Amino acid sequence: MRAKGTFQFYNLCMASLRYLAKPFECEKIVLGSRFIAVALPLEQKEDLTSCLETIKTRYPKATHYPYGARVGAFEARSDDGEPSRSSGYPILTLLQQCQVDELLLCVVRYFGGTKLGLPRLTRTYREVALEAINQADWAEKIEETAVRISLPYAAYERLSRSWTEKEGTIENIIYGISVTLTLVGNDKLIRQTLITLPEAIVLEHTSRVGKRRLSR
Amino acid sequence: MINATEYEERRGRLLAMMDSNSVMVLFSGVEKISSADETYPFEVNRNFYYLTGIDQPDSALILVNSYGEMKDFLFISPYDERKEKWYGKRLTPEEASKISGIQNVQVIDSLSAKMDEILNPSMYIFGEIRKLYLDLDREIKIGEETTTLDEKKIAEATYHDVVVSDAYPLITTLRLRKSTREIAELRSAIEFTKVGLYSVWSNARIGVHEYELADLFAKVVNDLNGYQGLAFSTIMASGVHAATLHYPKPLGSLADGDLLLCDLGARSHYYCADVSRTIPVNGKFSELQRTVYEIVLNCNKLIATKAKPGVTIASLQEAAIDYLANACLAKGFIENKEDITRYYFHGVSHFIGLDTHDPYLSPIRGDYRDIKLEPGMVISDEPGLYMAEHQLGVRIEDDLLITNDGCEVLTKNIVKEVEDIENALSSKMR
Repeated sequence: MRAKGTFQFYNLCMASLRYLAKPFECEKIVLGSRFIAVALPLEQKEDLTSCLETIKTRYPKATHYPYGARVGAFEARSDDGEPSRSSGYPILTLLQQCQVDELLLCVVRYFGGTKLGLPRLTRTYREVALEAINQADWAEKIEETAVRISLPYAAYERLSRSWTEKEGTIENIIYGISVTLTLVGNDKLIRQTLITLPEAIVLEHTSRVGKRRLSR
Repeated sequence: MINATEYEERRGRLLAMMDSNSVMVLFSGVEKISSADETYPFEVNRNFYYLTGIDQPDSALILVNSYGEMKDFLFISPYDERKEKWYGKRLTPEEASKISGIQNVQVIDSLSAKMDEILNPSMYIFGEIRKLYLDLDREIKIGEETTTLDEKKIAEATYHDVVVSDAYPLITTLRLRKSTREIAELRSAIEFTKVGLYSVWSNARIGVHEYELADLFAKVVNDLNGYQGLAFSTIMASGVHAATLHYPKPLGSLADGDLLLCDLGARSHYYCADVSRTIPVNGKFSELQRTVYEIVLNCNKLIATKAKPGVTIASLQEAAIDYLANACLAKGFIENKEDITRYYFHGVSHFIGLDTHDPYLSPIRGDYRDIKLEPGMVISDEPGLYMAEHQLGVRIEDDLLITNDGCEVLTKNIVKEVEDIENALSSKMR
């Protein structure tokens, strides 16, 4: 069965997994009840409790904190006092269908005094969660090269003028006798850049997994 | 307090020791990670501090000898609103200039640009400069993972004509001889130490823990010096604990019949006092304790008579070993003179200044024990005897200022005679 309203996200879904680029929140009010979807990156399952605590501190005294969470093979869900399979289950199912990983999606509910009934309640949780998934910023994991180099200031100036965000980032700059910094980004582009910087001394060359934000 | 004029004088004297057409770069250091994202309290690199008076991380000094003429530049971290909210105020360029006497103060990010202007043959703004002095102490960090040793390698690879030399021996040569103002700082540090030590004595009762006394010393000193802290971790060791030279965890409690060894020091603008005294916990030395104590005390006095210009610390050490060995032989503690190493196994003196061991010279940089003493140098005088089988350790340590014809015991007001200690413990103090 295809969950109602998931079409929009299917356009985004591709073969690879998506990861939250940054935390995201959105809110919906149904029959006086506030539903607030909070999506937080979750890099390891051990952080789940502390992430939930963060949400509870941010939204204290809510009636329920149902959630779904995924970190690779680890999956968790909770209805947190709502009727069985009304909230945690649809949220986790959405995370699976939309192929998003390493996140906690919690829908905080402040009860407004009117009961919604099981079908509408389940639908509302799914809709709010989906809204968050559709609107959040996503990233993909990519193989990056990180090259630590040292270069005289004049060459550093040349580099900062020519280097663009598209090529990657410059991290951990130390202004010593020479300037020491790390270029992070696409391996080929970095190699091309280094050719234009004969003064640079390469101190370390490593590959690592990084995240690249996806355009909407 | 050391003023800007004195910092200028120091830089001037250093410049005269540098090769003509050379440059020196010194870093204040950065905060070091202790564990996870916690850092140790920041301790400024003393060579940088000695020449600038600036006590904050992420700062650097460039000193250029351009055909004998001095150009100095100070680099400090820029104003950063967020950092200031988190970590408090940093010096403004005006304040840094006033403290150091350096007119040209820039933000640290422009250090590399200035160095490129100085060392790059296509610029050479101060003439042809091919010698670069760096303080090659492996503990100086410029970034989390970068030390000055890394900077040396990078500089040599970047500027092929440049030869890198160690600045450390030049600066420590200057630091050995103290100025009038430096001696005044040392006297203040010793005065704080004396008050702290006497507070310890008046609370050194049976049953009290060693750490309580160490904490008390720190508290009294911080009250007096405005939270400038201690010269080194206090050694507060009672009974057999005193036989461990740098007794690390003072968890023991004072027992009737124990001796208590206190090796401690306050500091004043980083100038360190280093004092040791040993007292009987119950107020009276036993016969054995008194015998051992008097051997050490007489050795301590002997060294003070021998410390004068021209003498080396190595020869003072020989004199101390000789005296202690003969005295222990006479009292029957040992059977051969060589056996004194069982009871006495450290040096009798070290230099004192901005560091407790100042300068610290590692074997590759030369041995401080062979430096001939000169007026203005300050050394410790600290013989000791450590007899674990008798449950005791005795050390008596004074700080000596070498004068034209001998030395002045800077710590002379802190009592050490047996009668004086027993009187102090019996009456007014407790």
